[in-house]
Amino acid sequence: MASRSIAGNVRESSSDGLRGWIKARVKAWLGKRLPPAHRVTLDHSRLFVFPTRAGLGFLVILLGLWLLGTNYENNVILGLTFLLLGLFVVVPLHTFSNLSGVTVALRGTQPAFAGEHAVANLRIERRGKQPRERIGLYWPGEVPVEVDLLEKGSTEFQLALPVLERGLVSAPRVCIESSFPLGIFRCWSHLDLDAKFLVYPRPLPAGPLPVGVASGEGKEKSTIAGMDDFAGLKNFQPGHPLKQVAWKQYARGRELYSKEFESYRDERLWLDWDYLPGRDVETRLSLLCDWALQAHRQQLAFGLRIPNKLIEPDKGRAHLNKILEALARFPVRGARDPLGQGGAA
Amino acid sequence: MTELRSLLPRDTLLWILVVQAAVLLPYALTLPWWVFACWIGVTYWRLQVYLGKWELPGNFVKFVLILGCTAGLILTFKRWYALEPLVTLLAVAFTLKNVELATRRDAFFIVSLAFFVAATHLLFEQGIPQAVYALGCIVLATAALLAMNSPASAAAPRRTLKRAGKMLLQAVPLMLILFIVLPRLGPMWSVPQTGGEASTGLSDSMEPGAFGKLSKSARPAFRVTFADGMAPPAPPERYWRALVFSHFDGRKWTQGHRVDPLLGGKVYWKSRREDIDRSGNARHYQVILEPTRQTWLPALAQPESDTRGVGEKPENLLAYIRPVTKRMAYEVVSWPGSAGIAAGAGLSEVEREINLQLPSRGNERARALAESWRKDGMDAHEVVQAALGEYYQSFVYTLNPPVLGRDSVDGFLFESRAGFCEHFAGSFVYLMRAAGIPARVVTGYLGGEWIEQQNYMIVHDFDAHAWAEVWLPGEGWTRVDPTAAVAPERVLDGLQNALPEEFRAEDFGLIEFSHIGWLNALRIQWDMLNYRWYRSVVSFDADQQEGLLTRLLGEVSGRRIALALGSVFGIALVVLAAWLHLINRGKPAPRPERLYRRFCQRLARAGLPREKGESPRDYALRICRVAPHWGGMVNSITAAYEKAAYFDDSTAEQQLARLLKTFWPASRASVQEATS
Repeated sequence: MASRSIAGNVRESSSDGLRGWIKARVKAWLGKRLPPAHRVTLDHSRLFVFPTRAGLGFLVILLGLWLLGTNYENNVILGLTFLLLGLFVVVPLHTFSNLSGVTVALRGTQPAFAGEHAVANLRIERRGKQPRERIGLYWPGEVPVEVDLLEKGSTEFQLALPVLERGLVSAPRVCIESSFPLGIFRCWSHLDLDAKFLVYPRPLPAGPLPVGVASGEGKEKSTIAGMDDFAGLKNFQPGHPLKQVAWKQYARGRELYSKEFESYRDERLWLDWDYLPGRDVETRLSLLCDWALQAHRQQLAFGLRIPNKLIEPDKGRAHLNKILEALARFPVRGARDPLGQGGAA
Repeated sequence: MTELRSLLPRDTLLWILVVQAAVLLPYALTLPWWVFACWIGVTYWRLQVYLGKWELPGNFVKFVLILGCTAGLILTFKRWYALEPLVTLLAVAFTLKNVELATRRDAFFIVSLAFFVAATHLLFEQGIPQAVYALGCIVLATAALLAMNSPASAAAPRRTLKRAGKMLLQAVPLMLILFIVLPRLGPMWSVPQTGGEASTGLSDSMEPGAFGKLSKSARPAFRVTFADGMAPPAPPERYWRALVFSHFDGRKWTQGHRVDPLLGGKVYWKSRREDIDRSGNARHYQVILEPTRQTWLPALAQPESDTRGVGEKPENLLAYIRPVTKRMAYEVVSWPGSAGIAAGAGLSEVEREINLQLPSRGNERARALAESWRKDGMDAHEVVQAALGEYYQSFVYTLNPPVLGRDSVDGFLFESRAGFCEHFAGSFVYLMRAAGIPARVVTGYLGGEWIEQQNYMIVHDFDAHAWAEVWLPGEGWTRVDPTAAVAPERVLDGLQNALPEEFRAEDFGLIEFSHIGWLNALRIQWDMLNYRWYRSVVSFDADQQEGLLTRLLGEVSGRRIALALGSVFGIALVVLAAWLHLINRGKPAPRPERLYRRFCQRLARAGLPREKGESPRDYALRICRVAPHWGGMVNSITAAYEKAAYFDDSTAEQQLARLLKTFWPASRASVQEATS
């Protein structure tokens, strides 16, 4: 199944022109340098260290001190300045060492509805006994989660990513960063954990459930026989329960009919693609999704019928998930359209 | 990033406040009182916020504070281009920032200022205690930064301090290199000088008979090192000349009206004096002078100096181009044995007139006495001897002479007959001039404590002395110390031993107890430490830097410096990186694993790398297929590895190692040969 990148999904603005080209190149380079994997251990080939804005401020202070020491020919001040400059050289090594040897692994992702937050379960662990402090992890543009590895060598946490579009969405790279110990240097890396989120359609208000709506277009019936209310006669076909054969009519010399019963207390229903004509694919999916949720809430058994996929009616959480997954995995527009009617509005 | 993340962690606040208090403490007595009051008030407020009792002040309070501080600054300082307003401004910045201290950025700003304020204190004094204190402040500020960025540390102050100290220690090698190698550019613009440091030493005038003129402080006035291997001058030769007084108004000796009172007349700044007598043994030495706020520089007789800003005066004195406001070092070459002005050169008319000057009236009895000597037909030598004879016969050396009347020379010579160097020198020169012999008063220092262990000499304030110089035809200016005629032990042994009773009566500090062995040793140790500090750190200038670099590198060139700098820097960083790598490296893989990996590497080199995820057994099978002639070996190695790794079999491990020693798969070519 075609998965879609989150690019263009989250806030990634214009990707035209030179900037777009550079971005693409950087992405390509990162992809080569930091290939995707569910489990990534950070080392010198993946980590980058740069001074932060505070670090530049620190340099300004050093410049001031140096001017003070030079203008007053004050060797002790110059000495302190050089000491702090030495610190400025030493600190990035500590910053680097705080992240180096840290492993981030993807434990799994939780599906979400479009427009909500999809959650990735991650695990972070360290090599060796050195404590790791203040590691921030975030999706680009999102709120960081801060993690410490002090006594415990590993910890699990969740990262939530807002997802806007339905489908199997590839998560962007996870940013991991730390400006430990002094905040004047920042060590960072972008990890492609190869995380994919299953994103269900955004439920749109679809009105009452299509209970009792028979489509009668020669396809399988959308209503499954109950036993209570007589609904009519129907040509007998092999497989129909013998109990329902209309023996009376048969005795009168008519053909073999089977009695059709429909029960309005019958809790099984079909959610059918064809009930929603005249809308585009995504809307249809959204409406089906809403129905499915309604049905689940009302504890009805229901089935799904969409192009190329049929799920027998059933009940329960697992079934709902199955249905929602089917909706989520419905091919996106632009990908090969199985119906040849993509975007029909 | 986000609000929450940028907020200052709770425990960090205390760190910030402690850092502020530490850097402001040395200024407790010098800053305007209202700054401190303000700081304490705001800090108290902030602490109440920390405890959850109050809220951060609103805009109105902030506005009032800013207004108040601005008004305070304007009212307190008349002059703005000075250090005190600068420091006060920084302290005020602290105070105002405390009011809205909420985010990490605010905290970082405050700590950065703290680095700066800690350093400014060194502008006022560069001693060891000050430097140690500033260093302590820097450790503290670094620890505060660490606490801000390390949740494990904020609440464990001792650990945080230790970690900050450790990081700074790692920076020390770089500091040393930069200190030695980075060029000293010298002042780029003129900066306001500090007014805080007390001046010491000699007065620029001398008034024998006035009350309490002699400095009795035990503070060091200057320290001297002599060039390698040279013994210090004998005690009677330790005459350090600083000032010459040639004008007498009846009570007071001054440098004279006819010379610039600040610089003392013509000074040879750049060129060498031509009339100096360079005969006899030269003495090379370095003087480290404490601040005097005067321009004179003490030196032995007939000095010359190549140090920048130091000039030579015609009176055989050294002078600095501006008042000495902080400790300074200068190199001197002296020819103390020579006669000064080259033999044969006479005294110019102007100089003769200057050095014979006397007030027209007053001190008549002394004048008459000198008159009588002249009438007796004595020559200059005889007059000098006659005068010294007078002193020797009936004068007393004391630090507490009676106050003298208007005719102080007469009063001293004929009535009190008790006094110290100033009285003797002043009256002697008066007598000489009255007898027609050009003479002048010289002040400076006599003596010096020789510190054997470190080969240097301390001259204290109480070594200040005054003596006379007379012009003898054919000999030039000749030193005569009338004090020596009365109290030769003053010259030989110093003031302490000349007047032990009176000496102790004054506040002399530790030196008073110099008869207590260990205490004296302690005092000398401390001074030695200070001396080394001043010599190697404080006075390390461009010249010394060049000397040191020449010694270290052979020659000083940009390339060599860059090379040395680069290599030492590089080595230091590599060592540190390796250390950091070592501490965060995990446990090494078990031995069988490592051996097997080596095996795989060798096969990979032979062109048969192990696939990702391929089990050892599959790998072995594949190799047997592709390169059957290694099959046996590969199988037994794999079997040994499996046994060693999965059953912890130590004999298998040994076997694996043994097998591996003999397994050297050949190049790819031979593989292909084998497979084809």
